[in-house]
Amino acid sequence: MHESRRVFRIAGFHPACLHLCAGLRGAILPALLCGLVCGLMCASAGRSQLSGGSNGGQGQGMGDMHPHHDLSTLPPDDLDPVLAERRMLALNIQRQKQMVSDTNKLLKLARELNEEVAKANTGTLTLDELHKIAEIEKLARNVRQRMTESVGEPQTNLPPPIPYPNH
Amino acid sequence: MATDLKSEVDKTTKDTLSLTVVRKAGAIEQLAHKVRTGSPKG
Repeated sequence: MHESRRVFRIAGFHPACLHLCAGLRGAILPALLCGLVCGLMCASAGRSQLSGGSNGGQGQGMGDMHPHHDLSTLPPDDLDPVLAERRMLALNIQRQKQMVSDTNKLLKLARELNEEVAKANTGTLTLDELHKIAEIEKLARNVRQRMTESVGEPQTNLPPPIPYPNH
Repeated sequence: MATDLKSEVDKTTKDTLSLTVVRKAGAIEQLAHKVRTGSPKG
């Protein structure tokens, strides 16, 4: 057993692997598997160090196959205030359009429901009429919520607050 | 009520917060819920 451990240590396997595998008496196969896993892990770690290191290695070997893009040079869209303002403006316009569309649908449904109820004049509601009422309720809730919510900060031209004098 | 809501919504712009629209839409929502379920909402 000691002989095999010495052979694995010479071959460059990690001592932890040897210690782990030494618990299994005469288990050469687990030791080999452990060594194989350690070797693969070391190889992948070395590759990641190479790709994440200086740019001097680029253009040779693996650098050509996997070109490295520096993310810090890309324009940060989320941090650009002009783009953020444009996005908020577009979202506000879309919200307004959706609100107008919901109101038009609501008005159309209300007129249809009014005509149907006046025509039937039975005092009871059919399933289709109940569905229309539920849709009207949903559309009215959407309009109310879209009106109360706005995208972005409010546009105010108020002067800055005057500090209260301390005595 | 729906016609009133429509006319109020048409007056608004993207930068407008209309309390009239909020009130009218809430009233329609409550009335529809009451007609549908037979009980007032909330």
